[in-house]
Amino acid sequence: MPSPMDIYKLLPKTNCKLCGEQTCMSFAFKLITREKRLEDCKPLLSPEFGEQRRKIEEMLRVVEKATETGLVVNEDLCIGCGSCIVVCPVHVYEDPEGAGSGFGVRLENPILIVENGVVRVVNVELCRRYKEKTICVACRENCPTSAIAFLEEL
Amino acid sequence: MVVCTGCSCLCDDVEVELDGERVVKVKHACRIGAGIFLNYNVSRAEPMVNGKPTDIDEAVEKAIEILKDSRKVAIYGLDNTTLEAQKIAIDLAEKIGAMIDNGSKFGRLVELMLKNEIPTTTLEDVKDYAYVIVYWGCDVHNSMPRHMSRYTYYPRGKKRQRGYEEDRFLVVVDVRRSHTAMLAKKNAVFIETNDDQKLVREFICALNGGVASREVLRIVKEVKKSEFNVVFGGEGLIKGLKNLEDFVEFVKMFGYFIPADYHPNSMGFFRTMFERTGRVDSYDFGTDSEMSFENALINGQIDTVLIVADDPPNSMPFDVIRKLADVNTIVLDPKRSFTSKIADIVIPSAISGVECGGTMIRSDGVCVELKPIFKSKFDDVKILRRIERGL
Amino acid sequence: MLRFTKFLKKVELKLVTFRDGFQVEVAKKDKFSDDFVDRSAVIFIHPETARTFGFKDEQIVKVSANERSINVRLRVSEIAPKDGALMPKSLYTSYLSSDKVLIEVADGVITKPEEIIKFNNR
Repeated sequence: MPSPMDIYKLLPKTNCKLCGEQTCMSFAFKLITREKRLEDCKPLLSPEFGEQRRKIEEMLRVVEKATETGLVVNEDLCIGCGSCIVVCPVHVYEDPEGAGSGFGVRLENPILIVENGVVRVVNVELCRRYKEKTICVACRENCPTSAIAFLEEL
Repeated sequence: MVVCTGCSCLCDDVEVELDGERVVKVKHACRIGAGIFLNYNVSRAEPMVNGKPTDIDEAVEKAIEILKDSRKVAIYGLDNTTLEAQKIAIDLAEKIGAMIDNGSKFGRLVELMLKNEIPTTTLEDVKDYAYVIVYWGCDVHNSMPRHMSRYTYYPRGKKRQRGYEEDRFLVVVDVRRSHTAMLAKKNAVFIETNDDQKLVREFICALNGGVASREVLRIVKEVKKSEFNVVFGGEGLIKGLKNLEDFVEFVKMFGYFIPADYHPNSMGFFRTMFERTGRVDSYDFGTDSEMSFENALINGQIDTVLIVADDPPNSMPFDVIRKLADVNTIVLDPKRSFTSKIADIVIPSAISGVECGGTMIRSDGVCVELKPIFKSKFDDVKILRRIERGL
Repeated sequence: MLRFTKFLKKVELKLVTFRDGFQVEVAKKDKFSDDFVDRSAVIFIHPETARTFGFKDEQIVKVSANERSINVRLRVSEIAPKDGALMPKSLYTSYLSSDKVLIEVADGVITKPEEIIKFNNR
């Protein structure tokens, strides 16, 4: 999950303010929250920043997939251990004999499922963070590679 | 529902979806397991004799010829194949006075388990009853990804209904802060150490009520709260210990031991060997004595090697691999491997659990019946039986 | 920070090997793919160690032991031991077969498996 710092390191870092932000750091934040687009940074469009622009685009692709669900999964970091699925309090409550007991989740529409070796977000509506607005961090807390993360937590 | 043969967890809750001969979806298996099903048809081995493609019959006949003319044969590998194939390999070794050995380094510890000299239990019991869970010298997040979520720290169990939040205590011991160690946060301790022997003695001292470091004392306090605690020992532990006596003493005071051996069926080999010969590995039927594959090869005692479902160049010291080039090498493998690039005879076989059935034994000794999706014409059992009959 | 660390030619570190799940996945798929080299020809260095010796993430380094050497990609990661280096168990670590290695920055390309088992080519 890219952090604003990861993106900032690739920006021109001149604080030229052409994008409408006071600093490049502020622009990096707004890129992730989707309030600004990469094209807003004029200096970044020049050829000398080609490598950096490509790297930022790659990072933003991960973020893009998150805006639909709120939960971001970076498949390249996920080993499919299934811990996030087993610790999810909603899964434990709805599927105690399945996911709650360590097996592959047996719900029709679970929040998460391990498919083809990596975790996939299926039904974020069931997640307590979105339904009840509670601060539940169980899945992210038990992922040692940060393959699963929350968009708002930046 | 199929059984995954990616590691010794042998997960049996895996579901696959097919599109003709292709596997298009795998549910619940980790990255390693899913990869085995999704890519089963990639990079398959072809029958070869002296580097030239041929048909499987010629390859098998040539192999029998070479084995017949050999002075001393070594059969090696076997950790990735079924119990049934392992039995025939042992039959074959006995018939021709060959030596037999496997790749897993857990022989000494498993021997103690089989002789009941170290207390052990099943993974289901760990899930239902274990409180303190120790991972010593193993990074299960990488070697057996679903181990923690299926059987130990995370799932709820009969007497552990509140899961890792309140009913488990995790201890990770390693020389580095591995991915597994990073999970030791809530109700957990991570001990970074370079001296496993010393730490074992420290635990024994603390369990006897003596002085030890703050972390060890904290862990021992938790251990005393429960009657069911388990330690999983990995290759790091085996490498780090100078002798096993202290560790056995520690386990007896602590609870149970299960090896964190990632080979899908090394347990099957150890147990079958033990039942047949009283030894778990490294045995020469010819002289009825202990003989390790690496030593025998380096000392020039072998002239033909039959490798079953293994790839020594991928895991063995280079000086040993060099010797492989000097002897006759026959390899049975479903996939192209480095061994197949240097072998005299390559015999393609089936991927256990995908294209052929059989039995495998989990790291805790529980037998699991494979449920293959396809059926291949040639598998290790058929090929080994044919070779055995030809000799 | 003392500047001359940048000119440190060779660094000797202990080598720890481990079973890397991602490397195992690729090895079980196809040992002769580029992905296999990507996942196997890697050496992990702890961020503090990298800082001390001036190693940079993604650079190519020459790793030597027992008169054998290979070029691999260096990755800075917290999973490496603080006082050593970490490599996934594979053909590359079998080739080195050592608990201690010498690491230096290299200019060349990453070593391919064919170069290691080349003496057996048929």
